[in-house]
Amino acid sequence: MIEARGLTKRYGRQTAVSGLDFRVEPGRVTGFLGPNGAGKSTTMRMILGLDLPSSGSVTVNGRRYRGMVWPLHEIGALLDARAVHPGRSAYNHLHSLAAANGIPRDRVDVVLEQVGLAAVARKRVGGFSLGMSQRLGIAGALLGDPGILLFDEPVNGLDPDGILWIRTLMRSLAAEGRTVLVSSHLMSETALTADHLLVIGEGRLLADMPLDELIARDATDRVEVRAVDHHRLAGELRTLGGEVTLRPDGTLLVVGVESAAIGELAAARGHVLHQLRDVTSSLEEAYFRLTEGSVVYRAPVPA
Amino acid sequence: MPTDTSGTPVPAARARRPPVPRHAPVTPLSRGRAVLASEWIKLRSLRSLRATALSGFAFSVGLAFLVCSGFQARWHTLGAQAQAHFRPVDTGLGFLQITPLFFGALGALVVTTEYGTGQIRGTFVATPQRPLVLAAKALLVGLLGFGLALVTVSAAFLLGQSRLSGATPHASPADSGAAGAVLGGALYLTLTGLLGLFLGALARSTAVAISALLCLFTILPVLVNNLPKGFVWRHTVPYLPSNLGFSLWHSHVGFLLRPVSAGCVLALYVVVTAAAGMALLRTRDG
Repeated sequence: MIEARGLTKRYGRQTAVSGLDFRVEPGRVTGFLGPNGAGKSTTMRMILGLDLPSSGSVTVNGRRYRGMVWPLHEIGALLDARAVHPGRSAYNHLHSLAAANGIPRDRVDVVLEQVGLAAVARKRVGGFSLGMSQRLGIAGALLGDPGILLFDEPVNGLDPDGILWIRTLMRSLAAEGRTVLVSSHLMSETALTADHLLVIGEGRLLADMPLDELIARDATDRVEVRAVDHHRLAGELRTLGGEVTLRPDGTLLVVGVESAAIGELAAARGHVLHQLRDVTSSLEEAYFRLTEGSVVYRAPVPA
Repeated sequence: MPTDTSGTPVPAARARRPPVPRHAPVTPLSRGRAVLASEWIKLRSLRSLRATALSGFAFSVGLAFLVCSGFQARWHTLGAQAQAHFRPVDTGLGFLQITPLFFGALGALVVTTEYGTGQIRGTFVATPQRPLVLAAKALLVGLLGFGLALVTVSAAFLLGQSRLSGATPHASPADSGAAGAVLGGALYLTLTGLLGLFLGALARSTAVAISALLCLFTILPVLVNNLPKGFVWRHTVPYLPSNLGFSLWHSHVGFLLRPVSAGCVLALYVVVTAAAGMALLRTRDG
């Protein structure tokens, strides 16, 4: 388990992370979402003892990282996949990491096999594609068979096969009871992998809740209607108690009237409809509501 | 309940993982040994380090060969005074005015390449006991550096002296002062390698570390030597790293420090740089 208490990091006068309180629990994939510069990487670096907090603390299994003796047995991390000496072979890179934590040498072959790099184990890392480097980074994270895994933007540079592979891997790691924290700015990818979300913006924690709950929270089901005479239909829907907004392309966005009722009304009043569609909330919308604090569509309906 | 990509439910926390298997009891020694093993794997798996070591060796031996061959060929054209001042050991080991730069660079590269590539983060994630990492690097640079230095200086000495014959004075390893000069030279190179390592840890950049070495060993001596030949000059010149090294291998040290004191002062340079490097490692991010 990872636990942050009042975690704060200032660089000079700039505050990168401000008073974060959260716990990353085992047995589920926790997505770490936030725009670029929100403080995701800084937070991960503090978890790993690379940066020291300006105030507050973050612990791994109850201990500060810099106090851990054999950390790779407890936590594995993929930070920057390219942060490997290009002149060293994949095997030697992993072997040096393993040796530093007393991990038996045969684990190197096991993880190389696991990430699909066994064939290029003796090749120098400088010649690897970004996708191969990501796999090498993941191999390094898995080396000590740790109970906690940290992945910073793991799908960067992976092809669709690779993305499916990492998604399945993260799910199965969590299913084995491990703690998995994965940062991303890709909403759709996170929605497919994460059970729980931490959302940060400008260094502050905006949400710490299950994915479903975040999407459902103050989500409003809307109906999208395209009608030939949208002005007349908008007026009629309003008398029915609907909240109607007109988008520039002529589409009506209706809140408060169900699609069935809209269809019946349209039939009764002789409207020609081109489209009638339920719009459900997505993680992306929930995220924008959190980070911008308001619904995107606000165009007034012309009278 | 979460589902996997095919829609099948995945039980959360199906089995709570057993606690992390306990290691053999941790002693500072076992932790240190693991770090040393890791650093050794890193060191031996880099071609750039081998290339630097090899070029330092080739340069030193080559220069000794050329200089001694030159003296042998021109011996009869030298004046009586020049002949009287000729010391075969000093001349044969003249490359020691340049070779320290190779060793300093070698030491610096051991740490700066890690910062340059970002590898250092992986290193510190695996070993949060950062001073231990630097200590392991220092031990390896010290031991391997001394081995390399001894081989380099001995080979250059033997090859250089083998070019001197006939009327030209030449030295054998058994001659008085010869072994001491070779050993002193090797020690000088080793200490320079360590100085480079710790400067590299302070600078965290290859370019900055090598510039600092160049300043210390080539630019600073020129600057100091241009001071008025007074009190300041007399009490600065002997303590320049290059002159401390000179005391270690050259037979004519004039007003410079005696070899043992010079070795101690040079070691003090290394210790002070090491202490600064260690202190910053603990508090610096990255």
